[in-house]
Amino acid sequence: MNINISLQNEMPAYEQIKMQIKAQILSGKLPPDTPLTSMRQLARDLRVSVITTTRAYGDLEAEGLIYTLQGRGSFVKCDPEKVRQQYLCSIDESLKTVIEKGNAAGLNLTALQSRLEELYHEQCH
Amino acid sequence: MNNAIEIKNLCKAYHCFALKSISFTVPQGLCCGFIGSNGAGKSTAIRIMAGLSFPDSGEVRLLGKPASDPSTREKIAILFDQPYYQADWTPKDIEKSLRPFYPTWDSTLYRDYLARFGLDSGIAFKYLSRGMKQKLAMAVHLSHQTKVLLLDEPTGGLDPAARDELLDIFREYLLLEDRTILFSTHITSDLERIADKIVYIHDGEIIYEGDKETLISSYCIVRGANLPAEKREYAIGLRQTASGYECLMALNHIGGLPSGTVTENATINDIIVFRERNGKNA
Repeated sequence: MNINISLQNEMPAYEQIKMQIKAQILSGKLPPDTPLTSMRQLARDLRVSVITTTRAYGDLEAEGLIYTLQGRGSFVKCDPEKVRQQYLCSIDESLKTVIEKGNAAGLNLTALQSRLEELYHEQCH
Repeated sequence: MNNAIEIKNLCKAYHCFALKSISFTVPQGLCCGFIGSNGAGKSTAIRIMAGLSFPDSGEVRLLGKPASDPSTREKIAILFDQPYYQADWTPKDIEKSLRPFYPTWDSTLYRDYLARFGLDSGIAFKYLSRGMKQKLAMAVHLSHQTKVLLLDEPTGGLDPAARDELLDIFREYLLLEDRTILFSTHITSDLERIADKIVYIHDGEIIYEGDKETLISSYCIVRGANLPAEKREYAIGLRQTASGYECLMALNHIGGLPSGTVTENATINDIIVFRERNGKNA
């Protein structure tokens, strides 16, 4: 687990910690059931308050990305559906950009679809 | 969560100063910053908690028991801006004189800490630098089962590197969740990265008790050419010069300021400086 936070960042420290752990879980860098650094250890290492890390872990748990065993620490949760949802959201975001750019370039839906098909076949075969 | 420190309606009057019925709590496992200007009452409150002076009225409970309870005494440690040991005593002598008072004293642990902090067990106390003296006191506190650490300006007079080292020792102390720190300081930058909670005392009264993030995020610094008259009452510590004005303002009041006004995040330090300035103007 690798985390770098900046106190000069507009984003609060707990949010930065949360986003970075989340990214590492969703990218598979932290596979399911990997133990996370304990909240107190992480607070010490990053030099932030205990409440900051507690809040980040609490949010991750609420989002279903990690689970906590009393007295044993927190672990990455194996929840493929959650991961799939995250991917779907990110796909939608990318597609919105595609549509915007398509509009700007004067491509209609059929033209976009055929380009997608073309690229899809190129990459997947 | 249990409260490691509970202060209720604490009163103490001196000749020209009084703690006016202060109350606050510190949950176990957290670090609470205790801030306020010189003479606000921080040290008085800490001295009462440590049992070094007695309140006129009110209650102090530490680890769920009255502060005077002998069974909790061993679990409470206090660190001032300088420890008080005999000038000629070596760390070895200090151990010999203190060990009988602490049933949970661990000599091996003490030696380990001395080695880690680079302290020679045979050097007289008076030859140690200020930072080394503080580290020696922390070695003492860490060598028996303390659960509450009361810090009264512990980083005063230390250079930045020594301060940083000491803060790291405090962070390490908090690795166990049954330990609690009350950290009184006016070097508020020390608190930015360690405190969970803030208690702000002003002229013997508590004027803020709560989350550190909430305190910081509820104010901002405002600078501009002319402060609109209807905003005047919300300006804290207003300073006006020929080139413009500067003040602290609660975030919920900054709406409607004219364009061209600059706002920036306030630090704990800013909040104290502007509030104290406000007291003087009024």
